[in-house]
Amino acid sequence: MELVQMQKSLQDYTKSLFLDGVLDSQFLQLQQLQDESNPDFVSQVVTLFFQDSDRILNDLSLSLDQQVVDFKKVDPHVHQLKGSSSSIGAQRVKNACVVFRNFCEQQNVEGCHRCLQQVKKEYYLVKNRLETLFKLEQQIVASGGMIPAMELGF
Amino acid sequence: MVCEMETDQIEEMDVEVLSSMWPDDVGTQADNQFNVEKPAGDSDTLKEVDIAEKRTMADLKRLPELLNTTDQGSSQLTNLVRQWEYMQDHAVRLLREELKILTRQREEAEAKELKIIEEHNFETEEPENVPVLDETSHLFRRFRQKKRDELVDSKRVVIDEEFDTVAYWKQKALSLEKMLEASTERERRLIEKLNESLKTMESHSAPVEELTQNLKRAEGFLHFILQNAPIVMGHQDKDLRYLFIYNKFPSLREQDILGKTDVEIFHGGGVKESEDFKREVLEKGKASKREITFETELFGSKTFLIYVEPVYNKAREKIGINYMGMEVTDQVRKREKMAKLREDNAVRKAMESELTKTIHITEETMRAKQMLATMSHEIRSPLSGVVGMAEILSTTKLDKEQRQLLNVMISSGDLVLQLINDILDLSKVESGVMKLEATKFRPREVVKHVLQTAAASLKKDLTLEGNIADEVPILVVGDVLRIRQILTNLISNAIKFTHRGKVGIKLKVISQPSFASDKEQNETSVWICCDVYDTGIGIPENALPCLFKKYMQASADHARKYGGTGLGLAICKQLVELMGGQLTVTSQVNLGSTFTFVLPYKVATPDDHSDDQDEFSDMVDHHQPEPDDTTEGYFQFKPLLGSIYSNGGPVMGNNFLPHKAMLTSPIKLINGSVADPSNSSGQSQTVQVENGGYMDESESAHQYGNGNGHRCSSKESESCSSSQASSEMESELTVSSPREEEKTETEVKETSQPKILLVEDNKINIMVAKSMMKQLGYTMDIANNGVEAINAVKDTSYDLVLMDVCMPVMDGLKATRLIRSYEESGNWDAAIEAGVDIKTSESEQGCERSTDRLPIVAMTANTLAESSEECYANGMDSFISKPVTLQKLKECLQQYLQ
Repeated sequence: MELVQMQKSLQDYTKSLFLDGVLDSQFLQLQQLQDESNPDFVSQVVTLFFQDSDRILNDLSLSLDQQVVDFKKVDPHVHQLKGSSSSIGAQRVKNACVVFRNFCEQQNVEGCHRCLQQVKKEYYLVKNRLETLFKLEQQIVASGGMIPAMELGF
Repeated sequence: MVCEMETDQIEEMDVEVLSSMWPDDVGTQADNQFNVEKPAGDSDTLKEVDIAEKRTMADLKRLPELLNTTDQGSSQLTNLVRQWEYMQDHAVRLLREELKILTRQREEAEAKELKIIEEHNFETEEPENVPVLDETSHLFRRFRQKKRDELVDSKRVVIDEEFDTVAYWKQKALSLEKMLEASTERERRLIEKLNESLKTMESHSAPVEELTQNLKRAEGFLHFILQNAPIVMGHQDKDLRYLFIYNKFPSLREQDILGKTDVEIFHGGGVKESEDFKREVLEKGKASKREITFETELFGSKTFLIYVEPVYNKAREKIGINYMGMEVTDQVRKREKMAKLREDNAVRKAMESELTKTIHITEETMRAKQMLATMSHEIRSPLSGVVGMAEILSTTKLDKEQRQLLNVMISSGDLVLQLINDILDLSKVESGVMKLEATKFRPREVVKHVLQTAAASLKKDLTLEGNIADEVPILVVGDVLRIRQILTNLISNAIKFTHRGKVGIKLKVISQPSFASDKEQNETSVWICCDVYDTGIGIPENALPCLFKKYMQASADHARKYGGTGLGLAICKQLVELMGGQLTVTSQVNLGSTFTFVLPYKVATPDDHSDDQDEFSDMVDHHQPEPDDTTEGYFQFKPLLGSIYSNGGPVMGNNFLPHKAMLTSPIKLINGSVADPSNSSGQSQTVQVENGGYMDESESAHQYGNGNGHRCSSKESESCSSSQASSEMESELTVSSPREEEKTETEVKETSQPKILLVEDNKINIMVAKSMMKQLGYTMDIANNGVEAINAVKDTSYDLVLMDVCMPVMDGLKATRLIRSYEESGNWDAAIEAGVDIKTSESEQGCERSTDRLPIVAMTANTLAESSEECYANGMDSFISKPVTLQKLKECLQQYLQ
């Protein structure tokens, strides 16, 4: 693939992530933080986010499968996930977490299960998309190209 | 009952069975199911299956009698009887016919004999014939008499005749003898025939025998069918006295039943009803069915389906009733159970749908409220920016027109901020998120501070006064933040609608009001009544009811004239009610209004200093112990130097923030003066003190020796309301002010990198924040929770703490409180008390710094539970909403790291 073409498709792809609401402007904040001194910042943070989230989702599944659900355990996990997703700009995960916490507050087990499914769905979506994004970036870098800077403003 | 029946059926059929309908253990063996009225002593009758053995006519006498006198009865029996009657009749008729023939022949013979006697009148002696039939003998006698009479007459005639020829007489005698012989022969045959007839008569008893057999079979069949059935049958005469009963209650003997009515036999529920029912059937003459539940001492509660039919005799007269009752207790019970279940089901379904509806509505409401709160929160942040920028703009060089426009902009912005704060407050109270804190405070000081604050922003020639009754305790426990909010709200409201005269607060202790429930009452609690009165425009009576409603003002006119959101009083009312009190209003148009709220407080001991320091030091001047202050009962504030403050937006202040409590007199702030173009009077106004008036925190505190006075800024006097915005505004203010920059040379900032502590538990957040800091040129320390933060603060002298609110182990609010407590008291006792493991090695270092106020900036998520109010209430200076962005961080650092 032509380098220019790759760069174009990366841009389009990134744009689609924002348009779909998978990511919000917070992700741009991360990209802004990435510079020569810290060239892999975004992927580092996102990788950390994936590791963290995988663990949290696992814990959540376990907690919710208990006979008696201890909401005191569940809620901090959701809070954590909400904070992380909010920090990297995984908007849809964050929004699902907000709903999730409401159900925690109501101690609604059924609602929590539904929310967990939703959160997982959104999480895998963003994970998938971001991994694709990084792959595209790697391809560009491997071809000796520059990662085009995202424009602010959408 | 049903299962009993089933088990009973296994028993031998021909033994005497006590019907399972009745209890097995009552009654005597001698009693029978069939009871027919009859002479006592002849008791065992119809009930036996083996009737043949014990049959006596006496047993059956009464029943056929009954059957004969009625139209009904067993049709089979009737048919049998009819057949039998018919056969009897037939036999009799045959016999009669034969008899007639015989009689005729005899008559003929007699006639012939008479003729012979007439002819031979010598024969006087008649043959003495034995009469065959008694019935005919008198005829015969009569005939003989007649014959004798005729004979006398004929004798005379005969004598007159001639008796001449012997041969003739001989001949005559011979023929007569022959005839006599024939007659005798006939007579003999007749007797034979009669005997034969008698025999036939006897043989006629064969159908009777057959009939009896049939009857026995029928009876046996009925008995076989009925012996275990839960059925009671009976016949009662027209007085409803039993003549016959089948399957009576076993403990009753027949003399207890027969000849008696139901009411004479049983007592209890249902008896009267059944009696009435029977009577009704008897009267109407129509058979009918009814279900009757009996409640008798004898057999408890049983339901019977009763069939009653009237009984007529052959003359179509009613002579009684037949009745048949089937016990259906279980069926009825089941049916009722089913009905009840069905009903329950319906009710449950209805309730379910109702619940679902309610849940749905509640969810909707919750969502709406959550959205409102989130929205408000989201709007507030950018708006703060707008207002803040506008305020910065106002410090730049502007011409008169620009300044005027800017002032409108700022006051409008403040208004919107105020409205949003109100909405947030309301939704917090309504959604139950609002939590009350119990802190010790001095009511006198609270009143004084509220009035001071109000006086500071006073634009009118009003006297503000406070009057506290002597019996009001010096120290009470309550949610001082909310109480201040209510007071401030009511006072600003009063000021708003008052143009001359005075506005004041009056506190007095009252006895427990009637609306309070008894359980709230205890020895240590005291009810304080607080009047906020004014001499303003008053409220018309018809407007009073909607006064406390949301978004309502006394009239649209007022709303236009005085502005405001109409939320203030609604919030006050909700807060007062949340605290278990009541808010009321009395008012007279043009004379003024008095808002009264009554609240319960716990009385605290005033000398308990160790505790109140960390709790309410913000509210109470510990560092400025004027003996008067704690007990003084009267304050008055008059606008000094006329109306000095004209630049302020609308007077509002329900978001009074304790750490910004402005205790200094307004005059003290006026170092520089700016001509206020908006002042129409032309009087030179010392408006805001942005530049010269700004005091470095520590300076300010030192200068006035007032722990509460940090960050006293002109903003306070300008508008107490724009609390959230103000901190940011101030920062911008100081940054942009050239004079300020000249002034800011504190050692820390010059010598080295400022020391920043980030308290955050989320690794990703830490990573992002750290990276942002790096980009902004700072490094920072990390603490993962409140406890770590306290230890870090203790050991290191930080210039800024960024504190997450929601954290494990110890949340940011508590950590901040404890840090503030340390700043006030100079020791970590409160933290140690709260269970924080304080390493005491370097405690001296901390003591040095104890007078400084460490800037603590909260990092909040947009949730109700982490609202900015709570951050301020816990001693935080500002907040950044999450997620943290470079811009927000930059602003924050600029504000606090100068």
